[in-house]
Amino acid sequence: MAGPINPSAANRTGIPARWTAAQIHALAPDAASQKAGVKLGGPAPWSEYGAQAESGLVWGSCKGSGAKPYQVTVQLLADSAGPPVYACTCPSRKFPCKHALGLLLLWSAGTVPESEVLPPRVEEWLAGRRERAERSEARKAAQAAAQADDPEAARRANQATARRAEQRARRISSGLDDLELWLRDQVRAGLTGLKGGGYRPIDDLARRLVDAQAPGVAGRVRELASCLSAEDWPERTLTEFALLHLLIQGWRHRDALPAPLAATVRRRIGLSLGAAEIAAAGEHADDRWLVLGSRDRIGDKLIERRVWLQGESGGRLALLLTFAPPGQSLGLALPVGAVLDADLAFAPDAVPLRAVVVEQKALLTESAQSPAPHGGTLEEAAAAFAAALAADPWTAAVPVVVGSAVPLVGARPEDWQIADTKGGGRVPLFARGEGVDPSRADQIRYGLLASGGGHPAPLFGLYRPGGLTPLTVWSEGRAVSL
Amino acid sequence: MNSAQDWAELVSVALVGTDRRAVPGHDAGAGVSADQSSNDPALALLSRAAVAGLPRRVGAPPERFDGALPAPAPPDPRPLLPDAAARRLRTILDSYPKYLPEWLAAVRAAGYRLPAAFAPALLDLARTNTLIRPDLALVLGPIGRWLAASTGAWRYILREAREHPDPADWTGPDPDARIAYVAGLYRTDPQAARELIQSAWPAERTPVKLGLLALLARHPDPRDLPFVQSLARDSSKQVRDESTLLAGGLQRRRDRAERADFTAEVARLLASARGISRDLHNFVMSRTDEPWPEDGARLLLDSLVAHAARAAQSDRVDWSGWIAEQIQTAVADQAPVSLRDRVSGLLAEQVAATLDGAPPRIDLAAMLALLDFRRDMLAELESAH
Repeated sequence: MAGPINPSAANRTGIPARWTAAQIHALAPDAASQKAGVKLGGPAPWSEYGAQAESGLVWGSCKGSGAKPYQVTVQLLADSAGPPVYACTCPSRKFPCKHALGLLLLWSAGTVPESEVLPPRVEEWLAGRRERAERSEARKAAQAAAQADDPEAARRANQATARRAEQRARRISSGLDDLELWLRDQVRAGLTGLKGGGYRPIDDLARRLVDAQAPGVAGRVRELASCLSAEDWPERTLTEFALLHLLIQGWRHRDALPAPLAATVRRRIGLSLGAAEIAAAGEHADDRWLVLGSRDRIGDKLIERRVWLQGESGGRLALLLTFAPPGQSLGLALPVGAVLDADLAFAPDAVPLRAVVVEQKALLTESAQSPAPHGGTLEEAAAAFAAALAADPWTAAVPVVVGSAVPLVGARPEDWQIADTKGGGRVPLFARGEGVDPSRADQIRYGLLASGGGHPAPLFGLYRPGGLTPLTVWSEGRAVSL
Repeated sequence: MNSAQDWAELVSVALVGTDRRAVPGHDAGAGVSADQSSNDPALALLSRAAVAGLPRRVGAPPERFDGALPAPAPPDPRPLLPDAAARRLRTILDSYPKYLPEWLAAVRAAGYRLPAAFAPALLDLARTNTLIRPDLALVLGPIGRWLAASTGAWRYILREAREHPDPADWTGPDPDARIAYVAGLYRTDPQAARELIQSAWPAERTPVKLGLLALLARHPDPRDLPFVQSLARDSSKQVRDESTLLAGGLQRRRDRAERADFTAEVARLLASARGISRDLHNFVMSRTDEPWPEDGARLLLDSLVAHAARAAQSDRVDWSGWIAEQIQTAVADQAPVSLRDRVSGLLAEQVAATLDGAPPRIDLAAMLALLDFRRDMLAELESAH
């Protein structure tokens, strides 16, 4: 077997010399694929494998359960400009499949030799992709040319977009009128009746709001079910009703609101801006961004990945979002503790946090070491929450970094606290946020206690007055995701 | 009316419903813009609630903590586990838990300290998998004991041997530390440990007695039999029950013949049945508690290959195929990793021989993958000293 990929060749072309195992694991569409990929990460099932750093190609044949080995090809895009492209002859519908993950892990370990020559099947595949890309470009160019030549067509296209937007706005208004009537009826009859009424009416209302193209509101309505089952359900439910009422008013008067607040209202209703729109309209910030934490939230149709970043130069926080249906890879392969050198654009908002990557220059994950984040005190976190709430009344929690945090063990799990040795404050350790189940909550608590060993350490989490939900802690120069 | 009172009142009205109770001070409007909502009492209540509930949602500044932090974990001077080995541990926990005992023993021998983040998961595992407790306690060292003491969970780890047993522990007040001292004594001088247990026994209380009995059970020695039998008259029922069980086990050990030499027994069983047999399978499966010598493992490997060749010719499906698979996995798990070279050679021969694509009866590729996994995991733990 020949030696590993020539690192100097890779740097010339800007393709990362080698991805780390952590990055490759982040590509897996689910835990089962990740484990299966690891099992295939050794040389035993593989044959005819090779890589070409210049083109970012890695290929191999993997012995599978069938008679013929599966042929796998992966292309890593230059400068990590996007998720890798996968091709595998196995019947799995997941992207990347376990064979692709195994091949990448094999490559990451240095076992795949560099090859000048591409095997014929890889050449064919590349040629096919180039052809398809050219055809698609030609089509787009023809369309654009047609529109430029024909201002009438361009105008019609814009009109169609405007019409769709108007139609959606009408649907939302109608859905919110419906919601308002429902809220009013519940308050007239008394919330006690709602508590006894079961989940069905809430579910139906949420469905109608989804049909009205207001998914953000639908999500809030579904949360009413957990409000109603809490111990302080009267207060929680009335609070949520009031916030829904406020959101309806916000929508109705959106044209009279200051632009950032109007943007917040639209976002909370579920009208999200696309990446291109944000890049065009949003405020840009070019920095080296530390990946503070990453969480996947499993919805009924989509998995949502949230990645929080902190700018090295000012400590500014940003949130990257990506969605994918289950079984598909979530594009953002950003390991916690890595540093992303990139130009971001922030979506306009009363509390700007959501951002998109406009241009990624490099992802620095060479060693497992992570720089420490900028941290503050718990008092500063509370102040940040209050400021956010003042700007965006629907704020539930704010991302914060506590510079010097220690967990305090309590008599019962829910009695644990987090102490801030710099500021001298303490807050409950709220591990059960977002419907986290008890065993996972234990994992978070014990993981935090073990990683810190009782020493103050930087901690990233989500702060609300009810408590701090820890997501990541730094220990011995490494970021540990909890 | 202050905000908190206003809020409490709004909650109670909302509970019974605005049809039944009026919203107090409804005409006031409280700064909400004039629209249809201010006319409808229910909607007016919600508008008021949005404002009145705000102080509640802002919350209070954090409370102070009264300065005294609990003591942190004692420092651990050992070098940190290399990154490759830490990734390997993740893989073992996710996909190959059967290799954890072998891996932990190798970490202990190499003298590395684990990243503390792994401690809770490993401590959880050792609750049920008691065989890994001694190695885990030594590998985790101070952080394991600190976690158990801080949380009250995993208390069993406090009774396991420490790296450097301190005689002061034996004379000290902590029962767990005293048991841990004896466990540590067993590692260096089992005879002294047995004598200490027997001499100290009469003065001990039941919880310590049970801990010491567990140590006697972990290091069974038929010479303890008279002492253990005498415990049948102990005042505690638990002690009587445990000692009876242990006495039975010790008797069986004493009366049983010497444990056969692995390689000799494998050779004998193969010769008498002219190949693999149920007896060979039983013997092999009874010896998975220890690593095997290379020559014995080679005999097994060769017998599996011979069996596969015969089975391919006869095309008969019977019990022997299932037994062969079991023995095959056991060889991959228990044989010294140096066997991988022989497996690799046999695989090359097999690939050349099965050009017609018929699936081989013995999955040498899978065996090689497992052996290579074990080889790599051990290679990553080259000594820290």
